[in-house]
This record gives sequence, structure tokens and C-alpha cells, in this order.
Amino acid sequence: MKTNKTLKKIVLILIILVVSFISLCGIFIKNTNRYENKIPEYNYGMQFAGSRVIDLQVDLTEEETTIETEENENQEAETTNEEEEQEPETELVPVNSPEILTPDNYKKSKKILEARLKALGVQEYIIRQNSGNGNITIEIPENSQTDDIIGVLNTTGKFEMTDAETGEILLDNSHIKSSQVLYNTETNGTTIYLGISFNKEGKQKLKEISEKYVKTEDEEGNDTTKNVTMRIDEQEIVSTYFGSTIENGEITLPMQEGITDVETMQEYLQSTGNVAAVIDNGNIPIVYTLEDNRYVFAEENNTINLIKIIAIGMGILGTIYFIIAYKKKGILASFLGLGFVSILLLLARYTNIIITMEGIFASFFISIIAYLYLIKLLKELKNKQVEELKPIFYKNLKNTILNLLPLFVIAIVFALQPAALVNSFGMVIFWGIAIFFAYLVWFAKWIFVDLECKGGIKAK
Amino acid sequence: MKTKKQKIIGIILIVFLLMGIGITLTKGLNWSLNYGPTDIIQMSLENDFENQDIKNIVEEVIQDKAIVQKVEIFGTTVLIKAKTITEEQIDSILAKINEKYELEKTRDDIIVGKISNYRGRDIIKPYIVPMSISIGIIAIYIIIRCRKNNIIKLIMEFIGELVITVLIVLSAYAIFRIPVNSLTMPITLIAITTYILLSIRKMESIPEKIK
Repeated sequence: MKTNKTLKKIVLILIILVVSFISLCGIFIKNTNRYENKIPEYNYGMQFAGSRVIDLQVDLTEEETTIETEENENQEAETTNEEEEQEPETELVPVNSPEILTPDNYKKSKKILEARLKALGVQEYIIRQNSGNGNITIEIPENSQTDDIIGVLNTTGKFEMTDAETGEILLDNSHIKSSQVLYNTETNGTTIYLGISFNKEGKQKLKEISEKYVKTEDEEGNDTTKNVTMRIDEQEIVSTYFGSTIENGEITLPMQEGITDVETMQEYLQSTGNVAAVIDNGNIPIVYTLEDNRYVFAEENNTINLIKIIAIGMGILGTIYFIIAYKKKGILASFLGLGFVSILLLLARYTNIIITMEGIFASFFISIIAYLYLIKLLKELKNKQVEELKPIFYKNLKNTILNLLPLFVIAIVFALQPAALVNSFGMVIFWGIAIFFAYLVWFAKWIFVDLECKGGIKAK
Repeated sequence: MKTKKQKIIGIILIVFLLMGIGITLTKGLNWSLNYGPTDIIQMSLENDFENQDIKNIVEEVIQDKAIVQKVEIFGTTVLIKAKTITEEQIDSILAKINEKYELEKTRDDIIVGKISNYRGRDIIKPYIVPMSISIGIIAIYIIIRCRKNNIIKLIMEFIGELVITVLIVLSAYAIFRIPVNSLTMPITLIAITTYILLSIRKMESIPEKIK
């Protein structure tokens, strides 16, 4: 019976050692000419993986514009009948007029950029603004979406619905309530739409526009249809007329029709989502120019090495304490603790948790709690009769659950947040608690209670 | 009744917090280079280089701490950040880098600029909503668990001590001039979480005492 019990413990230790080895070193399998680690890499945050840094500077240049004088207007009308065109009178006008370069507009611009980053699902970003000149520096993670995001940040987001003939502005950003991406699949493929909802004033205006801009013909059957043109940042999205009166204040603009493959659909969903993110958050009051766009490596410091040294040091100290205080049971508890940390690290890889400093601190925190649980359990079970072991274990478990409830609340709330720094903390604690109950408590019971009870001897 | 020991601890705590608040209001916190406003120099060295070598040159010239990072995928461009880099120091750094790497870079070949600070309120903003929700839920849990006791007093104590915990961390940063960096928020979070767990544990024993 005793041999059987020892064998079970040795098997458990071997399993923990294998899991720990896989977690810390990985599984390398030869693939053509090189060895590849089959265990996913950690998903590091900006602090450890580097970031894309973009500098947006307030545009202080001047642009040439035509002076709206009577002479120029007459000249414009005459040139249609003349062969030789005369240059209209122009003047240099600042891209950003001095009146709009105010602290309030600087703040508003920053706020809109932040809202766009959130709408685009960027989990980690740093925005710095020079309050004196309004210049903005943004840091975002480097991945396949980075260039698209920079494209979105660098647009003003000016939406306009104009009369196609006269260019008169009928609706603009001030009339928009929200926008979203929609799609509809039919036999000829999928069509992706940009849905725009207008506010109260916009709704009324849209109703009037949709009554006016319709398909018409004169008495001789010539097409006299009045079209509207919709533009985002001066780029024409669609030029069309209305088939019926729009009373609900919503329009859907077809962005791409007849999509038949998933890849193209994803691409257009992404690009239309970017457009929605731009117009949904209003237009930036100030025109910015992209001054610099660079990938900056993570700062080379010894943080990660220091963290590893601290972790190993704590592990060794914990093991020494366990062995001195609880002898053989202490060794088993040390292996259980090692298994806990190893499984947590493996889960961090497989669940793609963004590794930030908050996440690293959370992993230390939950590991310390796991070690404290083992210490408390061993202390309570020490020198107890076998029949007392189970009641003591369950009482300890009940107290542990009650004590960890607030931590579970923090873990859930933080894990549901999109911001990487907060999410990382919550996710690590959440998975830590899951491993705590699914692995640590279960195996602790098996080793220190069930096997002892089967042996029918007094626990040492 | 408070014991003499408790009174002394209370007085020390009040002095510590007042000192922390005073220093924060007068001198401000000690922002690390990554969070505070910095002067930057960016230049291409055309070949691979060791960050530490550049760091040594810069720190020798400016007599202060500097951050050196590689820029762009080939890693041949360097980005130097420091609190202040004067015109003379830029020339000196340029001359020393030219000498070390046998380059002939001039002021026209380098980018000199400034990076604004990362505002404190932007740093704490992501944590406010989740922490408030968590504390709210935990407060409800306390109300349910300790309903036989003076709930208002318990909740007030819980929130008051929580605020003091945060203030102690911030005061320590202000008094000991610990640089506010990427470790600050994780440390504060762990301090808050530890306090919550300990106070809940303390409250668990209250109903039994009353029984």
C-alpha cells in the first residue's frame, strides 16, 4: 500500500516536471531546416515588444486659394467661351487659421484621436500632447493593423453630403449621430454598407433632401435627376439620388458589392469599419500633418531578467521554507507550487494574454497566494489524525473561497476591460484563480488528504 | 479605546501623508524619462550598434540619465531621450558618435525634437472605471456578509482605509523621490488588492465575535 502511494506521488512529480519543462523551455520540433517551438510565444505589450510612434504636427503651412472677387467670378464665367484662360487671382491662406489654433481645439483633437483608437479596438496606446503648440505623439503596438490605424488617425474625418451640381453642403459631421458597418449576402455575393444615423436636425434635413433629390425627367423625356454626392475627407464615396423619402434618419451607403470570398470581405469590413470610426467620432478641428512615423524598439533594460531572477529567488526561498517546515510534504508542496506557476505561464501563452507589467505583477501576486494557501493547509493538517484531515481541508477550502471572492470580482471586472494594461491584470488573476481551484486545490486534497486517508496512518 | 502604540502609528501616518501631499503640490512627483517631457535626438548610424555604448557617450556629455533605443526594423538608427539636451551638448554628442563610429554626420543629418509628457490623469484613467466597479461590488458583498453589524461604519472604514492605502503609496513616491514609471500603477494595484483581501479577511471574523 505504501509503495503504491509513493509511486503515485513520484508519477505526479514527474508529470509536474514535464509540464514545467514544456512551459519554461517549450517543445522544439524540426521543421525543414530549423527547429520550431510548438508552444505559442508570449504576446508582449508595447513596453516589451516596441511600438510604432507617430508624430502629428499642427499644419502651419499656407495653401493657395482663389480669391472670391467679382472679377474672378466674371472671369470664370467668361473663360468657358474663351480659348485662352487667364489665371484667377489667388492668395496664400494658412491651412489652419490662427483663430482655430486654440487650447480647446487642441484638446478636442486629442479627444477625437483617442475615441478613434478606441473605436478601432486598439488595446494599448499612449497619447502625449504639447499643450503649447498642439502637436501630438501617439504610440501604438506594431502589428498587421498598424498602418491602417495610422491612416485613420491621419484623416480629418470630414463628412459632407453635397449637391452634386452646385457643391452646396447639405449635411455634414454636425448632423451625424452614429455610424456602423453592415453587410447583406445575396446570390451574387455580399455587399458591405456604411450605415449612418443622423441626429434630430440631420433627420429632418435628410427627409427634405430625400424628397428633393430624386429621379426626374422633363417633358421631353430628358433626365433631370438631382444627385447628392457624399464625401469623406474630400474623397467621393458615392454620388446618387434617393428612391424614396427617408423618414427614419438613417442611410446605408454601399461601399463594395459582389464580394464572394472571405478574405476580401474581411478586408472591406475592416476598411469600412475604419471609415465608420472616423466619421463616428467627429472631425478633427485642426489639420495635422504626419511628421514622423517610426518603429521604436523596446527599451533595452534588465527588467525581464530581473523579473526572472526575482521569480527564481522566490521559488527557491519558498522551497527551502517548505522543506524545513514540512519535510517530505514540503517537497510535494513545492512541486505543486512549481506546477501552478508553470500552468499559469502556459495558459498565458495559449490564451494570448497581452503581457504587460500589470500582468507580470498579477502573476507574482496570485502565485504568492497559492504558496500561502499551501503553507496554511500544511500547517492546519500537521500532526492531525486521518479522520480529521477531510473536515480540516474542507473548512480551509471554504475560508479560502470566501477570502478570494473579492479577488475574483476584481479579476472578472478587469478582464472585461479592453485596455491592455487593465485587461492583462484581470486575465492573469482570472486564470490564476481557475488554476488554483482546478489544479492546486484538487491535487493538494489528493496528496495531503486522500492518499493519507487511504494509508490509514497518522499524518506527520 | 486606542492604545498608545496605535496613536503613535496614527500620528506618524498623518505626518507621512501630509509630507507626501505637500511635496506633491510643491515639487511634484519625480517623473521617469519615459513619462516626463524629454528632448530627443534621432540619427542613423548606418551600422549596427550597442545601445550601451551610445548611452555611455550621452550620459558622459549631459551628466544625467538618458534612454537609448533602436529605431526602425534594421536597428541602425538611434533614438536618444534625455530630460534636457542643450545645443552644445548635441554638438558634443554628435562629435563623439562620429568619432566612435567613424562617421561624418552633421547637424543636418540628425533630427532634434521634443516629446511631451504623458499626463498623470491619462495614466490612471483606464483603471478608474474597473476599480470603481470592483469596489462597488465588493462593498455590496461586505453589506451582505456583515449585515448584522454597523454597515455604514464598516463601509466608510473600508473606503477610507482604501484611500489612505493609495495615498501612502503616492506619498512614498513623492517623499522618497521614486521615479513614476511603468511599475507605479502595478504597485498601486497590488497595494489596493492586498488591502481589499486583508480587510475582507478581517471583516470575516466580526460576525463571529458578535455571536
